[in-house]
Amino acid sequence: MTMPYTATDEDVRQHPSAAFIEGIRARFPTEREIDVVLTRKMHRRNGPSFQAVSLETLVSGGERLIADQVGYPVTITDAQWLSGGASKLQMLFHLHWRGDRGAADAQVVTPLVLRMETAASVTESSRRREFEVIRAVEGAVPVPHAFWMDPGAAFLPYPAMVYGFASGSAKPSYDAGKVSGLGQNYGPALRAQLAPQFVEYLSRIHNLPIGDAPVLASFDRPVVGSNASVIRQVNAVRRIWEEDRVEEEPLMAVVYKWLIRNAPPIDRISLVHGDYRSGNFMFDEAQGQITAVLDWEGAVLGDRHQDLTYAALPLFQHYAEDNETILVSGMMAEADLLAAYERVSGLPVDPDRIRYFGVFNRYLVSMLLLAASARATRCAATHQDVLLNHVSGMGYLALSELCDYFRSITA
Amino acid sequence: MIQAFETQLQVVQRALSEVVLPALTGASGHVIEQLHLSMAAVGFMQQRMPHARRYYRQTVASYLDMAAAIVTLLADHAGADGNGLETFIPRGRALLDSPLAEDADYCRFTGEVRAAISGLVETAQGRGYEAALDALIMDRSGPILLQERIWCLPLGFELRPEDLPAPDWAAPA
Repeated sequence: MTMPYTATDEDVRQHPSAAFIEGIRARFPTEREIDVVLTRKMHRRNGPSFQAVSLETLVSGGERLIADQVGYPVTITDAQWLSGGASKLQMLFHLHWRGDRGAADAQVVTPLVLRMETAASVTESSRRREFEVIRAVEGAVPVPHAFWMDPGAAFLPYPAMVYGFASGSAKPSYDAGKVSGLGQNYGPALRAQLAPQFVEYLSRIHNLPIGDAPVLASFDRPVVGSNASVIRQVNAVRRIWEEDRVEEEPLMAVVYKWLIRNAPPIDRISLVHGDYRSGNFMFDEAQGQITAVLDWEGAVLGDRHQDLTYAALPLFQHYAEDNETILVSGMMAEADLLAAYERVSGLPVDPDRIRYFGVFNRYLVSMLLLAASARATRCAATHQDVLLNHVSGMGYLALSELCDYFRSITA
Repeated sequence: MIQAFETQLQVVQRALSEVVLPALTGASGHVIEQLHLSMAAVGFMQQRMPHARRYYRQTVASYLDMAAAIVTLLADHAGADGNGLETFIPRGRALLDSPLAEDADYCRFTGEVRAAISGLVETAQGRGYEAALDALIMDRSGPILLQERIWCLPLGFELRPEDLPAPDWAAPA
């Protein structure tokens, strides 16, 4: 017995019509640049499928991009794939150029990373925004310098950027097989060194003065006292759920309504990293020093509580050596993180906003895993479908946790 | 005779872990990572394939229970629109009774019920029964999602897998 075939939700999302795309855009208004990126993703889905990109293609495109930016020919050597990250394709290379000062007779070799999108991703994001935010935080927190970008894919197969090579590792050497950041255990000695820096850098990010445009020009500006920017973020998550999901989940519809109705007004505008957690920073294991904060593609201007609750998500937790204490992002107990953050940043932590963004972030990761990751895998749209397929297996753990958490705070 | 699927997956597992992986010493990190993840995917199939039918049937039964509870709730509210949810209940029961039903039929049906219930959540906005409907969905979703988590146990994401209960699908639905 097989049921007769009819057009399904799956068909609509795998091959979206213009009307479907425009309908979702209208229902879930979000930031301008986010709208551009998500709309492009949907149109791309009807185009040619993702083809494996060779190093030679990236070298050629990278040389043309950089030459266009610096105004003279450059050479790329020693290109190799760089592991790490679930969403973007990365190439490590040496650039032979004249260096920052550009003297005609200068010969400089600089290790750099080219970071390029694929046809789809677990986090569909803007290279322009990523470039702008790294430029904005440089000097306040350790980040690789953002050199050049190709936001419209004029030189490379997909939008890309070039940034400096950050030394260090995202995982301890004894735990290199783990998917980066998921339940990452740094061990007691390294943890004691990294945890204070983890709090310090988050505090610096949130205290960073937000200048007027053209700084962060691709970011819509929230208004203190208004919840409109929070609602735009909730809508962005719901929009991706509508665009990418493989199956509907009734509780996602319930939680969406709650998030819209209970969105808190912004009390202070902060730069929010958006993916601040274990695994998203590099460190020098011997020195116990964080060398670079990475993965800025989810950054927004918004509420600091978003980062605090994201870092504390269960997906990034593990038990301490006493087998009782739960360490968030492999660092410290959640209460200790919040207390340390208040002390270091001088910014208050509001329990109501912690609860709200606790729901928001659980809703977000449920969408990323059950919709974005699962859809990208089905579309064979990335260079690491096997990784996205694997992490989508966390989706029901995330959704179950969302259900339990939501019930606990709304009881 | 051809070997069972589980045996086919078992031999792939052994070849990848005992022959291919050791031969990749010195390979790039992303190559090793993709091999580990491929082995995890094969291992998941090997462990879950024997239970798939019972699991899919259990999921159908769980969503039928949720649908029946919603239909009962709406019956107590004059003017409530069930959006045809009541029609899923006899269809679902017939599906579970049919010896010819295939796994894909169970999955498709579950997807349709989920979509119908989600649609009700949206249309209930501002109606007198909205809060009760939302609460019912959250209450009923908890045990269903717990089973989904148990299903994904072989992927190794649970902090304390030993804390999870035995799966419902161990008993025939």
